[in-house]
Amino acid sequence: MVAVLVGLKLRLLRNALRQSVWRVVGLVLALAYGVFLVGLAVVGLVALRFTQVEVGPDVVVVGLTALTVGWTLIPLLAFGMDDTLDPGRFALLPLRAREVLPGFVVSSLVGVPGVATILVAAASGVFWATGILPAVAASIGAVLGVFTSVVLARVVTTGLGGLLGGRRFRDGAAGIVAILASMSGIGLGLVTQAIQRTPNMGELLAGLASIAGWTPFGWAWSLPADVTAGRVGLAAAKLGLAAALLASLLRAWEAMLDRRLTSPIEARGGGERVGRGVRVDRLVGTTQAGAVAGRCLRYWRRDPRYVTSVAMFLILPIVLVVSMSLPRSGPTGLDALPVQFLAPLTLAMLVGLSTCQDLAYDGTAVWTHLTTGVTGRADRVGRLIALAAVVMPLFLVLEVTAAAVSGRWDLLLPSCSVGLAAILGGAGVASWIGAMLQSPAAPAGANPFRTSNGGGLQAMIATSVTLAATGLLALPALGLAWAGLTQTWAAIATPIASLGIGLGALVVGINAGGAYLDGHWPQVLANVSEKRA
Amino acid sequence: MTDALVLEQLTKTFGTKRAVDALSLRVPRGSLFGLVGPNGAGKTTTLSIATGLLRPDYGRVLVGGVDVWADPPAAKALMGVLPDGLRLFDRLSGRELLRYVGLLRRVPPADIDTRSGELLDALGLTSDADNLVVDYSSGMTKKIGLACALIHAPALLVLDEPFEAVDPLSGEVIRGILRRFVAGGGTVVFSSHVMELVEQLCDHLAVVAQGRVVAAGSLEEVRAGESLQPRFLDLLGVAVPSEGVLTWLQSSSGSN
Repeated sequence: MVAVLVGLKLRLLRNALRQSVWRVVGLVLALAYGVFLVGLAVVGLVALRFTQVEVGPDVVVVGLTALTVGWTLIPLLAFGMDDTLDPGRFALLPLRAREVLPGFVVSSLVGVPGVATILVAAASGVFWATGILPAVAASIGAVLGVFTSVVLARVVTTGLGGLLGGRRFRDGAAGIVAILASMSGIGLGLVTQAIQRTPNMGELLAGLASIAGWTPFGWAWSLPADVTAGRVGLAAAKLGLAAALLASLLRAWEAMLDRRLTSPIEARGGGERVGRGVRVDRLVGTTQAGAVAGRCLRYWRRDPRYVTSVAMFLILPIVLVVSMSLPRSGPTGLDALPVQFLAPLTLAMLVGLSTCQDLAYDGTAVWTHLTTGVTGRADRVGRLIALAAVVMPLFLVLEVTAAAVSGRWDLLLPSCSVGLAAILGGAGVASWIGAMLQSPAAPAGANPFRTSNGGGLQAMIATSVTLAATGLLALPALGLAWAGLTQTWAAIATPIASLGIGLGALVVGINAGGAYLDGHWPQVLANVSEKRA
Repeated sequence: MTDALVLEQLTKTFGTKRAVDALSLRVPRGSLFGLVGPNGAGKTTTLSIATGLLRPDYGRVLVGGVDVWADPPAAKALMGVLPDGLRLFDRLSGRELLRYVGLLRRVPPADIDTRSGELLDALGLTSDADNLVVDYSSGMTKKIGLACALIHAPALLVLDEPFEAVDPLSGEVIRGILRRFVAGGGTVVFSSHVMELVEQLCDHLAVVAQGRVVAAGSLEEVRAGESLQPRFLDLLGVAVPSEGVLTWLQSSSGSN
């Protein structure tokens, strides 16, 4: 069964490569990136092995723990989880989860990240192999570590995805986000404090390594370190913990597989009636752009993918407030300055990314826009109106909270100016890029952490161009704001120039994006359609 | 009298597969036109090109004399379209979706209200009008899609598999709507696999296979005195699998 599933995955990947040049380019880029990172890691590990630097073990434990954390976090934050083998497709076959589980685990390792992780883990074996006992510990740790990474990632994305896909999430979203954001805010504050207090890098690393070794992500990886240091009892305890963790993760995945094999159809939720929404309709008017805005506003409330976006927008102010209100050792005034400007910039980037995704989120439903002959400009403007209605209040709250917490009300105006330049400009750029590059997105109600069968590369290009352009557009405003701290003329020029840049980019983006759409609607429909593999 | 829809030499290739191969077709104004053919014959591709959803590699489409690929907005204003296999904006309720499509088509808001009320009523969707389309059954989704295609009172209706997954009662309602639409001077083009349905409903039809028109014309011309089903098999040159193959299927309980 393992060989069959691995073979199936390889075949599916090969067929996908045949279908689109984008996938080939994407694979080549991923390979180049993977080879570079793995090469770096292997050279580093071997070098550490033979130089016998004192901090060597700490570096290795922290690095490998970070690798496992990355396996869990990166699919959640950015790229989604590769879902080439969708267990739901096996629902009609007479299979038990227990039979297919090993196959799914092993085939999860097939791919650039999996192979890279195996290579790095193997190289870490070389690092620890200073004696027989450490070598054995390293081998066991590496095997446990690699499998824990893969299975943990799968369990977390599937579990959270199920949670986010459900309608109930909408009500719980704010709560979950608040808790997560507060925790990361506190974590951020603690790390900053730790760095401020311990000037010695070695000490800091040792501390981090011992913390990392005690987190579930690092139990397996710290095994050889403890053995090498002669802490055999501790090592035995961690071996038990790591094995138990992997076993329970496997059980969890088995349970999820079982559910997917027996109920492959994604939940659709039950009979929700909606009001007539007359108020929304009256607000946006009856023009084409107004209609698009009204539809988008409803989607911001009803589509879990948009609700997740709003949650991401919300995380920011909470992290900001929590981390800024923690007691700190350094002078407060210095910290306020970067935070007060960074926060709106980050919000602007999130807004840009969301704008880029908009057409992909529509999926094939966008045919409605094709056949009704809606103008590209009306499409762009409508989406931006809805976005503004969601983001602008958030932006103002963010600005005022940041100023209130830092006490630097004098920075409110320049910070607002820079933020506006970035948000308006970023939205403009994204309206243009989003019109040109789309890739299929997971439909609403499906697991949002699933990468769709089709070009992740277009999405990556669109994302990076949007981020870079947003940053570039904010630069002049930032420069002026900085000069404005000392020069009156610059302080006066900041809001004017920022508004000018932001609105200018917005108008250019709307017109260029709209014109592009008018000429390329069929291409858009083809881009957002899932290619059948 | 100009034709309602003219396809000239349409050609579309996906990779190495030629889905539509120099296909030409004329749909007379006021006809109820059926497009039939086996799976993979290129029906959906043809209709996608005709409605401006898919750009052809070669060829021309005229809707009421307007070139779809030279002046898309003018041509699209004349057509009502129901594609197959594409999603709707399904986080809207049926009523909201109708209003959305109406506004995008620049139908006066007052007209949208009266028309959508009548359409929902006629299609039996009134009680579900305020439910999200995502919760509709596939038959109800077809019906709300049809309502969206009708809201701007088009001159030409292009429907891809409009009767698929629709229950017999709603099927009869839809047939009634289409007949009335044609009686009022409109033209309907739809695709289907079901010969009986086409035979009963259409006055004109075309049989396509492998991206080409095998036969086209009025129902009588195409049938050539036969009933449509045997004539269809005849045109395609299909042999029904003979006895003697698949015999292992008869011992039903699994001995593989």
